[in-house]
Amino acid sequence: MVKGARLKARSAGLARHLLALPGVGWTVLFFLAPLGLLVVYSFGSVNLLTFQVQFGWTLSNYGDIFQKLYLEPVLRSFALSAAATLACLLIGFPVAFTIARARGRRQALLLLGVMVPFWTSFVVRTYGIYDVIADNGPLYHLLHSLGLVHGYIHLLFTPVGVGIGIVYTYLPLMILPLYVALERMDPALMEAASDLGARPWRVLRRVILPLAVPGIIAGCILVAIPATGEYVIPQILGGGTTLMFGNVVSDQFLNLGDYPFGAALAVALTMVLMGVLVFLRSRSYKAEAAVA
Amino acid sequence: MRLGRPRIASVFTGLVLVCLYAPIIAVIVFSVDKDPNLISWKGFTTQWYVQAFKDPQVRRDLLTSLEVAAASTVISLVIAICAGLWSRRASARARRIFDGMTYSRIVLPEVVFALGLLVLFNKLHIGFGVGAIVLGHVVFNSAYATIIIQARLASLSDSLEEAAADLGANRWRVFKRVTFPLLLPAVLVAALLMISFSFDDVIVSQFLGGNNAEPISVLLLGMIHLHVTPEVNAIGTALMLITLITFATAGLITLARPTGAGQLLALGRRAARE
Amino acid sequence: MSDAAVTEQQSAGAGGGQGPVPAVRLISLRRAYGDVQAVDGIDVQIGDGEFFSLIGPSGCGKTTTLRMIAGLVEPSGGRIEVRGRDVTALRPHRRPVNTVFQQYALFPHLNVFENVAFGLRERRVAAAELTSRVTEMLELVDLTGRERNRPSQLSGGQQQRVALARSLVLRPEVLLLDEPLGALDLKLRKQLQLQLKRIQHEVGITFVYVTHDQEEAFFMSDRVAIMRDGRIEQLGTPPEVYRRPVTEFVAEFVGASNRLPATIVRRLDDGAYEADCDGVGMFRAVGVPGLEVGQSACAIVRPEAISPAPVQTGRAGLTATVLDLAYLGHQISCVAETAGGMQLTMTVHQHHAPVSVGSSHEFSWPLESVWLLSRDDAGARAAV
Repeated sequence: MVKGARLKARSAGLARHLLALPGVGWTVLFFLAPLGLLVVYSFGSVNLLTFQVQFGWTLSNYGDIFQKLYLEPVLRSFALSAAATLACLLIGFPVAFTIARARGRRQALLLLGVMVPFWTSFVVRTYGIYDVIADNGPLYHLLHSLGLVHGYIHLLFTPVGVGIGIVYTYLPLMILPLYVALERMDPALMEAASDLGARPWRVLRRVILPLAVPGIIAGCILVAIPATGEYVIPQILGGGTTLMFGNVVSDQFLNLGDYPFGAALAVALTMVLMGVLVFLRSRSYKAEAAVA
Repeated sequence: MRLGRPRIASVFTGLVLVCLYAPIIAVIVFSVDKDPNLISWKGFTTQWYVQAFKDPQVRRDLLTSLEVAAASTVISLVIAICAGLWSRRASARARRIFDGMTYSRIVLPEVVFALGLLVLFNKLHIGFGVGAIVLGHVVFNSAYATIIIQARLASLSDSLEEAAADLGANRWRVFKRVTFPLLLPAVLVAALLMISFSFDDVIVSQFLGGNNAEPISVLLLGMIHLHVTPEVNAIGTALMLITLITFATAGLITLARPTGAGQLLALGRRAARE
Repeated sequence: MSDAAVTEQQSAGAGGGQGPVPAVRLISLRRAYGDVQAVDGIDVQIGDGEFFSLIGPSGCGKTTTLRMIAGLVEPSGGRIEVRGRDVTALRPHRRPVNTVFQQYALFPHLNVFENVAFGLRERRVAAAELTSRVTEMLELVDLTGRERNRPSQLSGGQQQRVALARSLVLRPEVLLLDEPLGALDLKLRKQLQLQLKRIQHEVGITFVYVTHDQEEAFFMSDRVAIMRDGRIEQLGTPPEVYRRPVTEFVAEFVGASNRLPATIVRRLDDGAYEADCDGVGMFRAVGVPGLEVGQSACAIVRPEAISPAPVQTGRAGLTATVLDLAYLGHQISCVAETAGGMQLTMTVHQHHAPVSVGSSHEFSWPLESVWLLSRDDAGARAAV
């Protein structure tokens, strides 16, 4: 080959890599750099009188997470996230099943019905729930008239209220992956199972559920990960008392000025979420392999 | 006996859908209800909208949101289109690293990197305000846009661009006459979704706005904390309409033309985290 | 390449491979992907106005060769000349060649007119001339009236013709066609083969055609090059290649043929050989030059040369039992097996086929239809 052509080809190759620059540059400057800074801060300490940060290699910030004051919202985040995920699964499964069994226009409408709330504002939907669970609100009246509750109950600004908020806003995230998993299941399988003598409950347990496992895991990832790091919902429905991980973290920065401790909390939150994600992903690969 | 008791499941599904829509509809209804105490229906009115949009703070914040959405969308599109074009020719390893960068911007809790940016900007003495919010929004918006554009480009056959070059078009002309027109629906959809995400964002907007800038979503959040008034409902309904319209338009475009935005459209911003 | 192939190439007359300036000249062209030599040094001259085909099984390097001529793949070595001009370093849009792509690659966002006008607009051809050239070209490919249609609204055959028009309207020095009929069904293929040939005749442009279908290539081409593992195995006119394949691979690729194991007994002065074949005996036949006495060879006998007739002077033959008969219209395809277990395939005319399954017959063929070649074709390849 002509030498000039090869040189030209090489410079063309370099020019091509320039296209990656905006994305890489932005990520490095405004994503990786701030995260690195948080990690650095998390090993430092702060003088709480002067707010001067001293950088160092102390692990005490990480140890402080286990103080009761902070541990409580941290553990609450996990508990709420887990409970809300389970509730989403229990409510979402029959809905996803119905949509998967529906045909044609009806199916399209049902799907759209689940999706459209997601297209509206997250903030507005969350405060929509505010009115519903308010003292003397519709939910209170409903529970009363059903005879499920006697006397006075208080939901707003409690963990239960925040949980209801999470379930409400995240439910479509559970329904859609479940729907995808159930939709691709051959209805003949269920007919075969009942033909072989399985009763409906057993068909559900022995055929439908095992085949839906990939969808269940996908839905759990979609709900549990963002729910654990949730900030807006406890902000609106927690009323400053029922806090979650995200709120505690931001509190350190915005109100208390303890950057090193806040940074340690943020790093810990990230680590935990990545751990959960990696765990669930590995399960989902296994489940996919088992179904395929 | 039929499986899964379809009737019971159908009724249940209906109930769930009612529950999904009830709070949204309540917000809309109370935004046009004359009753200022939000208890019962006292007749239709648009007075709360008029009142809200006469409020200089609301107008200013709406403008702030628009500025942030427009600027972050434009910057993100440039990043995404460049990234998309690059990643088609990149080696598998480079592509994996790059995609890892893209996905981590979506998966990581927004609180964490928003606070990281807060610390960084403090350290560098970068002032908080519209500019800082835009920088933060681009972090996540560019990731969503990159995923959409990459998906669309992946479904485009190389041979269309080869054919254009074969017919005498140089690189720039190939991009202008073939690649970009074919990418346009995806670009539009990405832009619409980013506008919607930007408008609805709270965390970065709140943390990085400081005292200088307050997007409408942050204003709304503050107003809810004080007291839910009919005016709040009016602003909330307006915000919902903005996001709903952008999303629905994006959906319609995707139905008509391939855009590569499937999952994002179905599940919204919080969903692409898988 | 074997000596024989070189001779074929040098003697290539049809289409004028030796014209004053060849339309395309490839000089030890190669392309490697990692360790794999997709194209491993090929030399070809394609004459002006020639219909030239590159054929071979998938992965033989024919498409890579075509794409190198188009400029879509960079060669790792060698040179490409178009009408004597070195274009090796030119980017595709600067080359005087155009391509008809395998899946047509029509621009989905442009209508038929704009697809055909694409290249003219790149050349800033004036509006009036542009319109008249596009219209004229659409007429040539029978698509008048379809100007405003989108490609997706056209049938496969129509799309193919738009792709052809889009390239031809630029009046390229050479038109490259990459399996242009590959996506179409058989009937349409036949129709378009005729049309392609007619169009090439009318415009007089050099066509370089890539296909894996030897029948298609033979039907349309002035010359064909059979490729294998990145090299040209044989190059010649269709009758040459068909009657005188230089290797077993070519014989196999260009059509069903019987390959009887034989041994070379004697070289005769006129270039023919005397060979011995199991069940047939000694016979005299022509073959690839340079076969050695004692060498194990292969006697190629075409199915249509065999008939159920006893051996006479000027013929060779053997006795075999009929295994299977299949009726192909006025002809019958017949498979027979000798006592030695060798199978023979033949096509015979219905009226002189008194054969039935299970019956034993004497089958024979004229000696001039036999072609001898080296059994070990690796030997032939090593000669390069």
